Amino acid sequence: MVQSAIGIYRRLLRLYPETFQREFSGEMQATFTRAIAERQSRGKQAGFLLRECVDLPGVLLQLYWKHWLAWFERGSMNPMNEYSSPSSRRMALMGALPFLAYGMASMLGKLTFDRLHPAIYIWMGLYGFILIGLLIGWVKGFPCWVYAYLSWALVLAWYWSNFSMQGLKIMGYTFPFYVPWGWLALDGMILIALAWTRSLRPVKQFFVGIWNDWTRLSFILFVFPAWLACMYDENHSPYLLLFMLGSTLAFTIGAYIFARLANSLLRILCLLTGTLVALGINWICDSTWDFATYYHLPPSNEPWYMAIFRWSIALAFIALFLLGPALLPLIRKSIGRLKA
Amino acid sequence: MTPTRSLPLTEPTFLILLSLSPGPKHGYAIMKAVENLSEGQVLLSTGTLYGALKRLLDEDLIQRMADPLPNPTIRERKAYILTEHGRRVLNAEAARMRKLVALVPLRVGESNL
Repeated sequence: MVQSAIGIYRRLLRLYPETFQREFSGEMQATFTRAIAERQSRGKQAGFLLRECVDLPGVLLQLYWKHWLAWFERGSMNPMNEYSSPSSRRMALMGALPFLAYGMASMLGKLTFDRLHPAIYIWMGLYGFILIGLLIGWVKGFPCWVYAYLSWALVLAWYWSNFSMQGLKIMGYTFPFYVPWGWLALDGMILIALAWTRSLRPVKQFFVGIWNDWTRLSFILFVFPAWLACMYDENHSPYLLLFMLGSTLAFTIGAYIFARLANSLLRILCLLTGTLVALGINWICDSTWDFATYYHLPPSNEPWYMAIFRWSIALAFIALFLLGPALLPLIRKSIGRLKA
Repeated sequence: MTPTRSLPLTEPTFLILLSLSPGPKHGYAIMKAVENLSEGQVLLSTGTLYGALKRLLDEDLIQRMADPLPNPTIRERKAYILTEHGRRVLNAEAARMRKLVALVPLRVGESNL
């Protein structure tokens, strides 16, 4: 029994933070072995083992709390990570601009709702801006701000993959119906970028950037809640533009502060706060405008707590979504261990 | 750093520092000393003990040294010793507790309990 307990204890030591393990696991094992042998000679090993089990969660909680706090203060999960240094104000603004541009385009789209062609020009203008930004960033070797442009380009290309040009005529050319112009334009931009740089190095730099700084992947994913929360589809609230402006600013400021921070955890908290504020604005908009009456639908019987539940689930999902890339350093660490 | 900034100490921390007061001890010896000092009232698990030792090392109340006692195992054993700052903190805590205890007869006398 004692041998089994020692074996289990040795495995349980792996639950401690890595730095703590390095410092104390040998000593702890020796102390445990002596203590259990001594208790066994007095027939009191059960109480000793019980105490070890009962104390373990609290001790782990305390140690991990300190461990995470140290990480929080240090600024990054990976102290050798030169990629997560804060961006300059100009670069941070570059990263935040697509969020502002999308919000503005959505607002202008609402203003020109009844007229199709102006709306198409607005969206084409936005998409052109995103693609030019992406092209510049690609040529510059994928600095942090460009990740937002790539994500926006993908979202918009996908969103308009079936978007008809409705026979729009520009400079004598009539656009054919149902051409996936979003994807075509993106492909064209990539070809220009490849021809310009004559190298696949920027593509490699894109992946290296994510590998070394997982928050860049979170930044890419941050575009999805921004796209959804600034859309206000089928919404005709009298204060719609005000709500849209609020959501747009929440995401824009979130993206700006994200780039200005060095701490990985703070960066994610910043993205989450931006999302939370924007969702809050969405919720206020939904609560103050009667969707059912406007569309002559039967009134909703959903109790208030169900709405809160629904919004909480959405936020929890987004939090997991944005924190998911934090698994990357763990994978990298495991690969490092295997190589060692 | 003034010793009073670390006060008050928790009971296990106080007992660990007290057990190290006579001289250096390794982990198991500290565990036994705490049990004896508290007459079996405070029983430390290894996790609690080493968690506390880590904190005391970080706060510079103790330091690590090679165990001066003969070691029957081949494993190198580390011992812990009070630092000057740790001794001052221990004395300050003892003084604080003495003051508190000194209040008890007065209060007991007043209320005639």
